[in-house]
Amino acid sequence: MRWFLNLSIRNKLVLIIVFVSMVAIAIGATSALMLEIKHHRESMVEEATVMARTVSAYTATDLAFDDKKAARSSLQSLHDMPDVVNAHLYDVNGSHFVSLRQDPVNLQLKVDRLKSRFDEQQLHVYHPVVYEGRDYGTLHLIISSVSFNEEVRYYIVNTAFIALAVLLLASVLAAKLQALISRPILELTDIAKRISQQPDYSVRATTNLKDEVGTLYDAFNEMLEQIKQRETAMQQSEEKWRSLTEYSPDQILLLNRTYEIVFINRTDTDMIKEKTIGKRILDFFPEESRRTMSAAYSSVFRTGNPERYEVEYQSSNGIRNYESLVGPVKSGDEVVALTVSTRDITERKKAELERARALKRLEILRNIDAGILRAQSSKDVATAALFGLDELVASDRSSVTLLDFDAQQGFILAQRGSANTPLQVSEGFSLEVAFANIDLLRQGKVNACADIRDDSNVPVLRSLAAAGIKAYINIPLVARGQVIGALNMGRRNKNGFDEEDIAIAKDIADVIAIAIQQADLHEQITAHAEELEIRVHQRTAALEVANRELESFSYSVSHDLRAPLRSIDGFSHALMEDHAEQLDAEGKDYLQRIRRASQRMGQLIDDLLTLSRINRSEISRQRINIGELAHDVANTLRHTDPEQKVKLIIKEPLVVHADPQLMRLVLENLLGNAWKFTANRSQPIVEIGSIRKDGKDVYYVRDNGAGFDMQYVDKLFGAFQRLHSAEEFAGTGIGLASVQRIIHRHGGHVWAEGKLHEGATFYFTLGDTEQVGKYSATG
Amino acid sequence: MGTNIKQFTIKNVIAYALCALVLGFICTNSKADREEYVLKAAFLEKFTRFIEWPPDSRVSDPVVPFALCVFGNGLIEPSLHELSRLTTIKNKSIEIKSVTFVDQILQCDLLYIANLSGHDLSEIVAASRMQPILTVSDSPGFSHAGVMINFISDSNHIGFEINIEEAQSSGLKISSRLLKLARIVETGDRS
Repeated sequence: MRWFLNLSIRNKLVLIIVFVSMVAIAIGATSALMLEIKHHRESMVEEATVMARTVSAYTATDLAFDDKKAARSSLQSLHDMPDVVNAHLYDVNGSHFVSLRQDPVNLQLKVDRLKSRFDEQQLHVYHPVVYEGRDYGTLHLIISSVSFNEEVRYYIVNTAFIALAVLLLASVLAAKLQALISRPILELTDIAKRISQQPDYSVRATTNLKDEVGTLYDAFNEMLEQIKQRETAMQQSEEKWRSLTEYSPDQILLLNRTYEIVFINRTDTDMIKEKTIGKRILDFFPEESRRTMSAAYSSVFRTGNPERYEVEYQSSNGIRNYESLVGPVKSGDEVVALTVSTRDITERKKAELERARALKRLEILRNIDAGILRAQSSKDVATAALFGLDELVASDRSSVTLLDFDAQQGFILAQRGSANTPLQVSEGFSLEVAFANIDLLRQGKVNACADIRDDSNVPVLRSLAAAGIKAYINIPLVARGQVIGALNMGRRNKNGFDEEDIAIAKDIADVIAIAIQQADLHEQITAHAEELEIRVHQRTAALEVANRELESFSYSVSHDLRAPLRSIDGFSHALMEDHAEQLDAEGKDYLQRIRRASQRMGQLIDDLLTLSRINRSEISRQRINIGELAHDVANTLRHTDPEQKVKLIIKEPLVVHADPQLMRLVLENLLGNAWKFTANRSQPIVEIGSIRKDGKDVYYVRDNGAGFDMQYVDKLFGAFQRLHSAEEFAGTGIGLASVQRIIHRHGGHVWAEGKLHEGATFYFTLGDTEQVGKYSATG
Repeated sequence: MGTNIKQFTIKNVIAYALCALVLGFICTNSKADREEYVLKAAFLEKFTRFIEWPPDSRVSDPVVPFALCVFGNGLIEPSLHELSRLTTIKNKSIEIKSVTFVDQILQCDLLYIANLSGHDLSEIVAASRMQPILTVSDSPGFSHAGVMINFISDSNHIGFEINIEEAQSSGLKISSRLLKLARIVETGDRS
């Protein structure tokens, strides 16, 4: 069947049609033939049967009466019948009776029931001889079927001819009609073939068929349209990438697996100028570059990740630096090629190098600055500067010298390098011994000498030349418009110093000049500071002595004065108790006064001690509610003097940030005063609260007591200053002084307002009010 | 005439009985004679097959046996008795009758004239004429004299002649098939 599959659709169709026709014709003709034969045989049998019946009817009596002669004559009627081969008559027992012709004959009839049969050439018909239901024997009629066979043969030949004719006709028709189906398909095939050979996707296959072939045409056209669109998209994409690579400033290469160049966007860069396609990229580079490159390439092939490398390339323009980015071209997961984008980074490299050098210069300058700042003396400055300079401008000898043009004297601050001179550091020298062009230096100009031998008359230079120095420069150190010294450098290299060297050296020289001057100033200031320090020390020591004396005095007062006071008080008391009856009223009164006075003095001493303690003690601030504190203090006061019914008004919130011990002392004093000065009032009222004034919290304690005259307000807070007599109101006069001291130590102020007989108000602020405010706001 | 008449003997009777028992039709006392009578007896029966009696005759009555008469004693009788035992005629049993007087003829459907027994043949013919009686004889010339069927035998073949005229006048219809085997004679004809 393979041969069939390989046939064209046209031939297949023809073959199928012809084959089907053939089968149909064969079946038709065969069945017609069979029918014909059957029909023919039937009529033949029928004819023979009629003949047999006719003949047999006349043989009944022949058989009945055993009359063979008569029987023969009966059979004789068949003699002239065409096709009758023979006729045999058998009696009722099946025994042969007579025959039409004397051919060899079976004497016994073998077949009884069979009516007729065909053998090869003959039809045998058996007919019973019956008369009125009685059986007399059998007539066996033999008819030749030769003519019948002839007829069948003729029929077959005829049919075969007709079938052949029909087949031919069918073939012709098939050949014509198959085109109906095959032509559109063949046309489509033709178009497809043409397109595959010469891609032109704008071609369209046209048909007006509406069947499956029509659908095929539509689908084909649809496919072409899609291919065309894809083609266009691909061309655009191609164009996009082509343009991207074409106009890229970089050189872009495509490498295959063996690193051969398969694409290059341009060759107008310095690199790879030769014809490059098909050559191995590595062949264009020196050994060490090759290693870098092939490592990068194989890594990209292996990992699929992009790589980057830099190589140097010896071009006609000198050494160029290139940076390449290597990217994978993947097909699925496999890297099939590489893209290498190469950029000339020579200029960038140079710029980087220069920037690095500039940075280095700056760093060195900064180091010099730092060294200079650290340096205590101009000598250190010069040494540090030379050290740094060495890294920027190479030299075999360098020195910093101070110059005094008026005295024509020089002084070596520092020197460095392998070339030695007779002069030593810190050594003073005459200028003409070491400098060839002193006037140039005095004018603040650089003296550069390319050949030191020109100045061989100068001793120092001569000795330097002997040490191998070929060129030297003297750069003036200028500070505040004055040349204070020179930076000197010498080289064994005969090329001397170029512009850049001199520029750098000048920068350094300027720094050195300023630094030296500053170092000098520093030295002077340090000297002054030391002197001041010593003086301060002396003064402080004196003060400390005085303080100690004062403290010991205070201690003596507090301690040593108390003993005699206790004695006075004690003995006065003893006198009162033991000898009261010996004293008159006046004596008792005196004693009472002595005791009061001594007790007051004791109080006074305590207050003084407190005051001095306030001065010395540390302040530890914390958040406290002075309202509560006031309440507490008031309770103590009420306990001490239960008879005085003071109405205390506390206007909270009164949260402050202050030392709780000291604040208690403040309240004890202020409330104590208020209590004291409202003693004469029928309805004493004391109020504590706060107001906001000039952005500050101002706390106050107000009473409706005795008040004071505002003209004495300044005396209010002085120690031992009293506006009222001790007889009028008890007190040492130290309380408010202590208050003022505490408030001041908190960074605050305290002041008072009042009017005689109309009460007084004491205000105070506390430093760090913002913090306090914050506390009160949040608390 | 007398030459054809066989003599009845004890020997013949025994031989015939034996023959009838063992060999049926084939046997007679003299072999040829016995065969001849058996055949003739069979012929008689076969004749009836091809002859139609008139519808109003006794033969048409299915109840009454077929009367086969033998005029004058004849050697054929044993064969006929044998026949009557073995077969039927017109689907009826056969009754064999011996007739010796002319007036007995009317009792017969078939009259076989074995011998005249002193009677004149014309008497017998006259008596049977116009009656549905098939007359058969075995003597030359009898058919001319008006007997319907007369056996004519040669050495190896038994034939017969038929007087159609007589048969037709008696109302009997003789089949052409039978006729084609017979020699046709007419009354008075001497060929």
